[in-house]
Amino acid sequence: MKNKMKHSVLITMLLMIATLFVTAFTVPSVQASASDNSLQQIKQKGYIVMGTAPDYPPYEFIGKDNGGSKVYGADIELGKAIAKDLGVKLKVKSMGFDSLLVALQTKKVDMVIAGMNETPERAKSVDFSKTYYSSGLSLVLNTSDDKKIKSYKDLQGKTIGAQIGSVQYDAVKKGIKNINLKGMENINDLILALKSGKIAAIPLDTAVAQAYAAHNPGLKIIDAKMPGQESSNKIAFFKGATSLENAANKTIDKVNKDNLYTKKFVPAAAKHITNNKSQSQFETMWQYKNFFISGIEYTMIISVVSVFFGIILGIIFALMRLSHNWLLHSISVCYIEFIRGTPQLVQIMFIYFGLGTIVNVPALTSGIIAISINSGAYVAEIIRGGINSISDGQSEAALSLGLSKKQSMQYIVLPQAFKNIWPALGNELVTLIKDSSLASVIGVGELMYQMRAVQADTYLGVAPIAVIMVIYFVITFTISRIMKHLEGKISHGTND
Amino acid sequence: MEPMIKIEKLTKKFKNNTIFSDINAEVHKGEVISLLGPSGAGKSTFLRCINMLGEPTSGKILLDGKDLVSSSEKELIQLRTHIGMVFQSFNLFENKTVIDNITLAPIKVKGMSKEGAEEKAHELLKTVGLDDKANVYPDSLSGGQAQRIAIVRALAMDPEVILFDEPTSALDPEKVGEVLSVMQDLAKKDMTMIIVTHEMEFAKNVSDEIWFMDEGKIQEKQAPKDFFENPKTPNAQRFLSKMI
Ligand SMILES: Nc1ncnc2c1ncn2[C@@H]1O[C@H](COP(=O)(O)OP(=O)(O)OP(=O)(O)O)[C@@H](O)[C@H]1O
Ligand SMILES: [Mg+2]
Repeated sequence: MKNKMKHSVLITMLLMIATLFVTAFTVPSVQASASDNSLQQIKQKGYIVMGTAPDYPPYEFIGKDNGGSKVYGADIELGKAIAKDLGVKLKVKSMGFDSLLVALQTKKVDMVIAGMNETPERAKSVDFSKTYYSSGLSLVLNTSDDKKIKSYKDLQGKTIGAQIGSVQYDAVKKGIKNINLKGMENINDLILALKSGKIAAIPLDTAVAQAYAAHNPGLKIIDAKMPGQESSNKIAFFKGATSLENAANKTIDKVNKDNLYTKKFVPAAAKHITNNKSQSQFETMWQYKNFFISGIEYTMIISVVSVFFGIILGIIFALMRLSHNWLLHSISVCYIEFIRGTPQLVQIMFIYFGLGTIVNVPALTSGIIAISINSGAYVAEIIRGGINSISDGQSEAALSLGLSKKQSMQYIVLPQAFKNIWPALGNELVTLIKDSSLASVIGVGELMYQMRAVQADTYLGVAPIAVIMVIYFVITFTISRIMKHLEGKISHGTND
Repeated sequence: MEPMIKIEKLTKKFKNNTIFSDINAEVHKGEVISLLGPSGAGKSTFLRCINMLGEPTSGKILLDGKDLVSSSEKELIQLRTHIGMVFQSFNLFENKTVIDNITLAPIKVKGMSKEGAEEKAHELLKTVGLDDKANVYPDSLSGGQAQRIAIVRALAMDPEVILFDEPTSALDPEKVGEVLSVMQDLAKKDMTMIIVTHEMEFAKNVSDEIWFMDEGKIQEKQAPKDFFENPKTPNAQRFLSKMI
C-alpha cells in the first residue's frame, strides 16, 4: 500500500519535471518584437554571428586553411559584405541544416545564410530578407541513367533521395506522384547512395549540383524542368528583427545591382574548393590529417572530461539512490530514469539550444555537459550494482569497529565495488567515446564532424568514413587494453 | 558494582514480527556470557542490537551508563569503539592486507599513528601465532586463521567488551580448536565477552553465566554447572537433549 503510494508520487514527480522542462523552455521563444533593437545590439557587440551548414559547396563548405580548417563559400562572402556595411566583425557558426532555425530562434546566431529558401512554414518562425541569389532545381544522376531520366516526370515510381529539411525535398515530395523518397541529413551520404544505386536521382539546387557533379566522375546533372521551382536564396533573421533585416537588405540591393554574387562571391569561394582528382584517395586523406588530428583532440577532450564528471555524478546519484532519505532517493530515481529514457542526441540538442535560452553555453561545453549528465545516469546504475554486490558483512564489520558510514563507504565498500565493476566501467567508457560523435550535431569539431568536413571538401564519400572508423577503433581498443591492464593491478584493492 | 552493560526492556520487531520483547539483562566487567538457544530464537538479532548494528524497536542499552539507543550518530560511533564484534563469516576487509585490516580503525577512528598501530598489530598477531601473515590478503587465509585475525582486529581497538556471533560455526571441525583457545586465553585475561555459540563444552568450561534464549525471552540465566545439570524450563531441557 505504502509502496504503491510512493510509486504514484514518483510518477507524478517525473511528469512534473517533464512539464516544467517544456514550459520553461518554450516560453522564451515567443517573446518577439516588443521593441526592436536588433541592429543596435549588433553594433554594440561589435560582431554579427552568422549560422550556416557547411556541406553545401559552393555556398558554404569547409576548406583547408594553413593546415587547419575554415568555412568558405559564396554565402560567407555575402556575410562578410553585410558585416562590413554594418561596421562589425563576422563570426561564423556551423551546425546541421536542421538546427539552423532553432539556433536563430534561441538567439545562438543573429542571422542564417545557408542557401535557404523561404517557405510558408519557415516564415512562421523567422523573418526573411530579399532574395540575394536565384537558382534552379537540378537532378543529379548516374551517367548510366542518362537515357532513362530526362526530366522530373521520369522519376515516377522510382526511389530518389533528398536532403531533409531542404526545399528540394518538399518540391519533389509534393510535385511528383508515386515516388519513394528517402531523406538524409547530409548531401555526401546522398551522393554515396546514388553511386551505389540505392537511389536513382537527387534533386539539388543547380549551383550545388554542379559542384558535386564536377567532383564525382560518373555523375551527371540535368535540369529537372519542374515548373515553379526557381529557388530564391534568402537570409533568415529572428522574427521581429526588422532594423537588422533592413540594414542587410541594403547590402543585398548593392550586391544584386552589380550581380556581385555570381561575379565575385562564387568565384572567390570556388578558389577554396580543393581539387584532389590527380591524387590517390590515401594521399588525399593524408593531406587532411590535421582535420582528423583536431577531431581526435576534441573527441578526447569530450571523453576525458565527461568521464570524470560522469563518474562523480554516478557516485553521487548511486549513493542518493541507495540512501534511506526518501527525497534524495526519489530525485536520483527521477534523474536516472529520465536520462535513460530519452535519446542522448535529444539531450545534447536540449542542453545546447534549451539551456542556451537562459545562459550562453558554447557548443563544446554543452556537449560535455550533456554527455556527462548522460553518462552519470548509466554510471550511477553500474556503481549501485557494484555496491550491492559487496556483502553487508563488510560494512557491518567496519561499523562495528567505530568507522562512520562515510568511512566504511570510502575505505571498504567503494574500493571493492570499483574492483567488481571495473569491466563494466570500461564498457561505459568505450560507449561514451563512441557516443561523443553525437556532439557533431551542434557543431563541435570532433571526429564525426571533421569527417563531414573532409567529405564536403574532397567529395570523397567512403574514405573519410573509413579513416575515422579506424581511428575510433584504435582509441577504443587501446582504452580497453589499458583498462584490462589496470584491472590486473587493482585486483587487490587500493591502499587509500 | 555498577554493571558495564545494562539492557532494559529491549524489544525488537521486524515489521509485525516480534523477535523478542522486554528483555532485561546485565553484564559486569570481566564476565563471560554464553548466549544459547535454538536456531531462529533471535540470538544474532539480540547481539546485533547491543552494538546497534540492528536498531532495537524499543528499550535501552546502557554502556557504562550511557544509552546507545538514544545516542546521536556521532556519539554512537564513539560508543561503538568500546564494543568489539566477531562475526560467523569473519568479514575481514577483502581489499586490505591483514595488517591494514587490523590498523584501519585504530588509525582512522582513534587517530593512532601508523607506526604505533602497526607495532601493536604485530604484537597482537604474535599472541595468536599469525605474525607471518601480516602482509597477505584475507583470501589466502584458512577459516581458522581468518577468524583469529578478526579477533585481533577487534582487540586492536582495546574494546571493553567483545560480542561473538557463532565464531566457529563456519569453520572446518579441525580448525575450531585454534579459535576457541584464543577465546579461552581472552577469558583468562578477564576480557568481557558475550558469545553466541553451539559449542556446549566450551560454554560450560569458559562462561561465568549461561543465558538461554527462546520464544522471545531470555528464559534462564544460570551458572553453567546449574544450567547444564539442572535446566529449569522445558524448552531448555528439550534444547539440551538435542544438543548432547
Ligand atoms: N532482517 C530481517 N528481517 C526480517 N526478519 C529477520 C531479519 N533478521 C532476522 N529475522 C528473523 O528473526 C528471527 C531471529 O533470527 P536470528 O538470526 O536472530 O536467530 P538466531 O537465534 O541467531 O538463529 P541461528 O542460530 O540460526 O543463527 C528469525 O525468525 C529470522 O527469520
Ligand atoms: Mg544467528
